[in-house]
Amino acid sequence: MTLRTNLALIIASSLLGGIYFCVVLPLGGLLMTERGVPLWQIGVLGGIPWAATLAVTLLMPGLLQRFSPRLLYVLARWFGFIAAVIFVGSNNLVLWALGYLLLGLSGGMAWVIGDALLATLPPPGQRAKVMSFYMFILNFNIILGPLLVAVIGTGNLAFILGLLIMLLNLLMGYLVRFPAAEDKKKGAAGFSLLVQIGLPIAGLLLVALSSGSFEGSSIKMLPVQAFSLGYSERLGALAAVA
Amino acid sequence: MWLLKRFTAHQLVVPGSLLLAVAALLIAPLSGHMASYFAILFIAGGTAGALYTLVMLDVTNGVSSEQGMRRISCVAASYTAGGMLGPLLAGFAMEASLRWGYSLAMAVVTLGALAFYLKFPAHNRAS
Repeated sequence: MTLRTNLALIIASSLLGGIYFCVVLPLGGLLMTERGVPLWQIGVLGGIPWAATLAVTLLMPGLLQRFSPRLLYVLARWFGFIAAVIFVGSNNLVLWALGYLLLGLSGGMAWVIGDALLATLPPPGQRAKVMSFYMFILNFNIILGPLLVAVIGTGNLAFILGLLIMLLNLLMGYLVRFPAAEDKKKGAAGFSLLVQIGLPIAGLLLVALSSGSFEGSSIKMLPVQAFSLGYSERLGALAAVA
Repeated sequence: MWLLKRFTAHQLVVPGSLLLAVAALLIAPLSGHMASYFAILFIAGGTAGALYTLVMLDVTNGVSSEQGMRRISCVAASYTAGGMLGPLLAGFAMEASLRWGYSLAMAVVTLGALAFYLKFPAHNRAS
């Protein structure tokens, strides 16, 4: 497999995973609203994927110390597929919470490994081009996910389509090629490991936090601001996309 | 992409953060005029996304794939934490002032992060 094909596979896999994430979150929210689930419960369930993503990204340095990136990447794709099976096969809120949890774990693990592969596999002169293209493509998650829900509606068909997307994503997970394994260094673990890795790049971590802070608040708060300032609901939604 | 052909990711983090802070501050005064409001939101959103790409490129510069993964997991955790804390902070700030709260909160976060980055820029030390 050529490097170009491998990179295309990683990008396509991230795109598919992202689309599914952006299908299931609004779809789940809409269905729960229709079923009369209290808003606070919808809010809690909607927060599970983000909390799981945050937790697993914090655990990833330790996991990568113990397990191969390939194993974790395939596991991430399995978590996503199992979540898709849960959403197709059940209406139970507890199982949905499990589905959201698996989705968050899957997203966090695949995010870290996929981004790292795309940032380190290409020759140094092409890395910026590959990463910029990847970030551009990822924006389509936010557009395509809700668009699919809008076109297909809130029936079970959207979940079935999601299952097919995640099956394809699982197969892609097996096809992605990884660089030869390096020797595992015995060293710090847990919090000490995080400090060891994070300290030299602490300044950049804060810059990432400020970027995430803007992106997160623009999706959730800018529609509120735009609507409160007198713009229509549609323009409010557009404020988040902008 | 065009900028990254001419400058390194490391060189672009400071101007990128400054641009984001200025764009965030301009959201409030431009919010009364629809075209300007959406234009500045587009610029601010694009800059915030570009900053994340720059950080990804910078932390993986000159390190092995596995070391890159460990570093990226820290970046991803930090970005996600920002995504969770940002709306909380913006919500409180908007409660105080609907028009200026969001702008000021985001500008303070961005400039605070930039100040910390300028104080601790030794990111290429082996870890």
